[in-house]
Amino acid sequence: MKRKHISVKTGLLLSILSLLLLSSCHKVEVFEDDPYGNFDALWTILDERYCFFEYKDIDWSQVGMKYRKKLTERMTSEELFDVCGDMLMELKDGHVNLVSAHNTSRYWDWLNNSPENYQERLVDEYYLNFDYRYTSGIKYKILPQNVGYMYYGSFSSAIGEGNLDQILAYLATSTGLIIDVRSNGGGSLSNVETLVSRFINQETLVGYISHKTGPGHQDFSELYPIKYKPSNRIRYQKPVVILANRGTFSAANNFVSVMKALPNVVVMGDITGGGSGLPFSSELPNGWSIRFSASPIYDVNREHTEFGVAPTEGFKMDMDLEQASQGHDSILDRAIAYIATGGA
Amino acid sequence: MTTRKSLLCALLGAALLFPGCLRAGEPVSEPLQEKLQEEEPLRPVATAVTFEIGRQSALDTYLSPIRYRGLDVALGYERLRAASFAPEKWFTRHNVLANFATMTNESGSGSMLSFYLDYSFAMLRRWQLLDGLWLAGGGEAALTLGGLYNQRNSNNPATAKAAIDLGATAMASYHLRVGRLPLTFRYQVSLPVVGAYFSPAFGQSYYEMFYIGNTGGIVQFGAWHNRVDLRNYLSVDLHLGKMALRLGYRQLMRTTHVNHIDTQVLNHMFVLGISGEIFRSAPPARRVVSLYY
Repeated sequence: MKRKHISVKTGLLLSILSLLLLSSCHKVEVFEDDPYGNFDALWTILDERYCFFEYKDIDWSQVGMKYRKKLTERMTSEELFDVCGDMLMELKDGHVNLVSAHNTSRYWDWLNNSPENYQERLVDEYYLNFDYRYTSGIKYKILPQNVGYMYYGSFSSAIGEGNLDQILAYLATSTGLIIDVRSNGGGSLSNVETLVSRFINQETLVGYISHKTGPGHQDFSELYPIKYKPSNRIRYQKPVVILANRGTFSAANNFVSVMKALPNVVVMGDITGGGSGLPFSSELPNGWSIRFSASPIYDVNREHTEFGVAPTEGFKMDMDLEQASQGHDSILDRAIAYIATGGA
Repeated sequence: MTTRKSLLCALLGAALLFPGCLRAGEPVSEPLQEKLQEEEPLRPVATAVTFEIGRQSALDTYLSPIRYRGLDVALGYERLRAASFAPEKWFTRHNVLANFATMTNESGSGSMLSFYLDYSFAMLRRWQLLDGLWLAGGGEAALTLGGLYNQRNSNNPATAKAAIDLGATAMASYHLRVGRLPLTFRYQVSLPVVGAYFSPAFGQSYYEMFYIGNTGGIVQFGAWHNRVDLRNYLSVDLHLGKMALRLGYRQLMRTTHVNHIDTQVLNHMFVLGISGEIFRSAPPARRVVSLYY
């Protein structure tokens, strides 16, 4: 009896210990700090965490094999960086950057292969006459046609509610407002909500968000609705034109997708640059940092905007460079005319 | 004359003190002993305040697959007291530990900060094995708050840590004298068994959870299949007068494996502090239940 009692106790103790060992010793994959180890770490991080493989129809295993063949044991750090950078180009994603001490890989083809459609100097000189108000990263002025104009160059510039009150109060007498987010490379999504909340009058569904639930390429959560509440401060009620170009990226891309769905708003210019994946960061054994799209944000129609948001139908246009050389921004001219004629 | 006067004074003083000395030297009578046993004993509070310094090693795959290591400093507070209902058998323990670590990755290109605040309350049953040696075991409720912050990440810069646990704890204490110096050796171990803790989903951003409001599923049921914490604490109190100098070693292990995210945070710390017993009142004839011996 006693022996049995002891064996039960021992068994229990062993079970507890084995449970502890099983759990606490869960293996986390460790990669060596050599060309193969760093490459494999990079490939694995993206394989498990990148969110657009399915949408972009990328065979990541194939891509990995293609570039792994280019590795050698004795390659330099710079050579390894180039191979890794080339592999990342296959993702066609402006949110993917490999950052080392000597370089940052980036995919800008969508931008480099498109017309610029914005010249800051042209607007500043011929439309604002270098005389404009500027706060919270926003240049603003009422143009001679009594059209309000705001240029917001980066969603990284925090928008203060008080500053926005001042801007909208100043522009209140205008017949309509142009919000120019051309070449706005993005920033914080909270600034998108701050700005959009001045143009809605009730809680509004503006899109959806999803996240990866596991390392599989199809492991995603259900789409979760994103809703914005209207500001209880000054809100603008007149026609609004949004100006966009291919440089309108990331949070600015999201802003355009949200504004486009609102009544009384027209988007003019070019297709935005996209960048709808919320970026996460990770790192390699050699200390290089990798940024990548981790969590997709959809528009109100549950569509990806990773490759951009098209202008409102009938309003896609490129800047006339000949007119630009004579001091005319043809996209801005059309927006002014649109508002000046009552949104016709 | 002067010598005579001094002698007289000494004799007078001795005569006056004699009855008192006698009383002090008298054995306590049996009725008084019984009275003392019946009377509620004094339960001094054994406290310790410690400063701790050591190393922390942290891996959190939500932030990075690379382990970070660095300096860890902590402040600790411990409070032990015999329970009122059965002071010889049961006692309570409160532990508070706040620790902060600053760490870097192996390549030195990234840095991470860590902060943890732990509070636990335990109720333990003790068994006196030998003179000065006792063992104790019981249950413990613990609360942990904290987080890890990676200073170069984009939308996953930090991961918050919050947990409540119920678990088992044990303690051994040995009080002895080395020469004229009383020492108390203690070993304490705590092992949370079940609880609840916070974790984001595999690729879920804090923006989604706390700005957009998608908080569904962020609280996990914790048990040994997905979470193992272990706290070891070895100390020796060197009793120098009323207070004691505490030297010790503390080891903390916090591990979780949930939502395909692994967290492994290990601390090894050298402990230096002061400890002692605090009496709220001290009538000389009352019995004392100390947690030192």
